Amino acid sequence: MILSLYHDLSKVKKWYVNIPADDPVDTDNVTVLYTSEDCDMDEDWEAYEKCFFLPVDKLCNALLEMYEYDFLNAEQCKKLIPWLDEQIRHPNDKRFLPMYKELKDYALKAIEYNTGIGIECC
Amino acid sequence: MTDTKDIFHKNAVTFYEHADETEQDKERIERAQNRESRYNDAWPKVDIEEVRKRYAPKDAQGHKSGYKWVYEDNPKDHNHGYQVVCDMLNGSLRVYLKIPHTKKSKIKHKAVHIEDNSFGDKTNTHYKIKKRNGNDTRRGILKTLENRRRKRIKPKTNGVDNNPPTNGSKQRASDTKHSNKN
Repeated sequence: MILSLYHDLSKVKKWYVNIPADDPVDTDNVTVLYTSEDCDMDEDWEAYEKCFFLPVDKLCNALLEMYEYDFLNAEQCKKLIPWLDEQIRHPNDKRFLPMYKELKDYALKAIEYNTGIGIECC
Repeated sequence: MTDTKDIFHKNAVTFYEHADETEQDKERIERAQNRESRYNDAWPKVDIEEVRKRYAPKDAQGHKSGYKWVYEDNPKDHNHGYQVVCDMLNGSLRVYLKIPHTKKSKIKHKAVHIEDNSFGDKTNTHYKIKKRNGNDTRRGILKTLENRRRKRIKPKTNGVDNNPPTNGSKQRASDTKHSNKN
């Protein structure tokens, strides 16, 4: 997956309907991270869905799914932190543990900046 | 004549018919519907037949991948060629160019603009599958299901046992869980 941490929402250049969707190439307002889970979304999409997309969508009222993009704002990131803490302690799938840690790191920064994270599920 | 649109529609209907059997399935459907209602107006309409012929001319049949129906000429080649990925839950499609992934970048495909094959991003590479007989959208898929149940026609696809519901024909797909298990 690709995480995009926004530094300042007032500098967003591109909106997708109502969510920030800057292309990182066009701006320095976004820090990008390719997450390092040890799992292939094409081959094991059900693990992504069961362990990550569905719980996060439910928790944060988000729309994450295979091949798609969504943005979690600072409020949604706040809801996510306790869930990520739990997954880091007891991962629902160990292959996702590095990704959970990276996502938590980004979510904390998004809360600090009062911005959010774009998540591209691919 | 059977074509890409018929094949996609037939498979989407078959998939949808059994796509609400678990809580996870229901959540998935809800999510696809939410996405459709959020972005539908932003998606240009395209003819799936034209798109498939351009990007996957040798693969008229396609294959299932999760809740997507995928057309690609060389499914075993993960580094080259295009994929036409159709969402069976909300009737949208995207075209991806497969690229070799590196240690630094794990990206294995990039979405392209159908208009000029240039790389796009999440905001401008979704397309809505154009209707032909009003039956390619999610609403159309549900309508076909309803008509099929009303006529009590047993579908020919996949040999799946799709007994018609016994308590009325105007049930939504999401209401037929128990009927299908008869």
